[in-house]
Amino acid sequence: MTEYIVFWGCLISTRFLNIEVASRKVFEELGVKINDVEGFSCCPEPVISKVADWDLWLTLAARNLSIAEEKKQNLMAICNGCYETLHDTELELEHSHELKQKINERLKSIGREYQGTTHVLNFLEVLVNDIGIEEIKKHVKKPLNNLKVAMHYGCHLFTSGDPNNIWKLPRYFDEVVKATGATIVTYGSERLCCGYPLSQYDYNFALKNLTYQKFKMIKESGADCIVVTCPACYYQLDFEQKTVEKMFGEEFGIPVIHLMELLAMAFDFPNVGELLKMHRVKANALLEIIGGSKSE
Amino acid sequence: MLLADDIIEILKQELGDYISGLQKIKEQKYIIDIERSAIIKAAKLLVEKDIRLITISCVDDGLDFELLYHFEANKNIISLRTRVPKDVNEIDSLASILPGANWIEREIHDLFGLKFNGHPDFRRIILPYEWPEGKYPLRKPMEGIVPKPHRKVVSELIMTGQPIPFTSSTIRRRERMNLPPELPVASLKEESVKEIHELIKKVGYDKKVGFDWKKGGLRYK
Repeated sequence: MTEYIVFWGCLISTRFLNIEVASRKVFEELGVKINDVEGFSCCPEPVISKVADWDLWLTLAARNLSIAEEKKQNLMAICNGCYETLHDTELELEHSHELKQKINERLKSIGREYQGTTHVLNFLEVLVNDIGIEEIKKHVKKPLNNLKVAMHYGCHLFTSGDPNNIWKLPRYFDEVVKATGATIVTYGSERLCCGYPLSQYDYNFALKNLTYQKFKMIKESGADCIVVTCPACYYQLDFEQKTVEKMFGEEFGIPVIHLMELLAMAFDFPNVGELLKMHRVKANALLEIIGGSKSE
Repeated sequence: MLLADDIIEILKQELGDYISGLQKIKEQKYIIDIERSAIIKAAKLLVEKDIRLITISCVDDGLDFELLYHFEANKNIISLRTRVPKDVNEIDSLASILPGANWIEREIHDLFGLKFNGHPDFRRIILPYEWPEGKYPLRKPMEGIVPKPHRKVVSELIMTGQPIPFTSSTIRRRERMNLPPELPVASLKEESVKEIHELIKKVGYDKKVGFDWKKGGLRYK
């Protein structure tokens, strides 16, 4: 059985428990053991902390990596923001020996060391490379053939050490969605940011120029739902949708589904409806589109 | 005549415990970081060696005043640098031992509102008579570098290692959803929180953002 240390990140483990529940069940179904380890702090998140102090951001991220390294397992990030932080830290410290030395001097004061043996993976890499699309397809008990989905990739998914390969993870995302049987509809602004990072600095501007524009184009595309892989995008598109509707006097009502929930639907897990009830925008109607679920 | 190196040596010998840094920023220009409680002792030492005070500069960085006491010795400039937190807002006056400091301190008070304790004649000196009391033209609002919407996040990150706290209601929600109630995250482990505090202090992030460890939050709202 493949094993990974799992890094949930602060948002999923405290606010979006539906994503954590779905992820645990999906990986269990796919035969992947995920291990929680003691002592992880915030990754730290790459929107505020990285900008505020790059040095601290790198130091705390290296501490997290050193914890994973002790267990001699690769680390799988479920949150895309955490993935960016930990992946970029891995690369930064791999490329600069001086920087690694400087960070390790700090870690030494708390009895830790980062050697660079743990590899950081996005959960999409685990799904596509380690489990495989064909294997995922074998677990699809309820193909989502009638479901039209709009892909929202989110900015962190384009994180890559290789500038010529930034579409690797978004393409993995497409492949996994297609494996469920769902149809991807294009809407023209797939790469447009959800607005979450900008909203941390100028809330109204972000909602008007990013989030609202995205909803308008997705609505025109006729998609039944938006699929995301990032908890921050999930928050922005689901929890802020009502605010956008109120602000611009336009109704959207587009459910926002995390990829792990989409897999849970396709794998026909019982009580998927309970997870969908936790969404701010009503999402249970999607179960009717796919022909119900075991809980009903 | 004493050389700059001799003077610095004397200051280090006599007040070493109060000195936290020494920089030669260019030829004949030195900055010595010293605790504000030792500023009178340092000035006395220099005066006794016939070293003259040129002027005092004050900089308001939002949270603290940085005072630089510039002394001249044999064409060398030695600046004693000290910080006065705005929430303290006072420092001992040099005017009684160095009459030349008298008007400079009054000017700093007029412009920044910083009090100099023990000043013999603390009247207004530079602002016009009709200038309103309690208004200081060069004093900035009490603000650090963290923008308002991020202050809670930064405080939580420093205190617990997580910007979103793992509260008892989170634990209850996790229990209801059959999830491991307490993930072994840093914020729930005393040892891990200690490690994070140590790293934050080592990087100097607490000072950079103006974090008050006793209060458990930023020094500004």
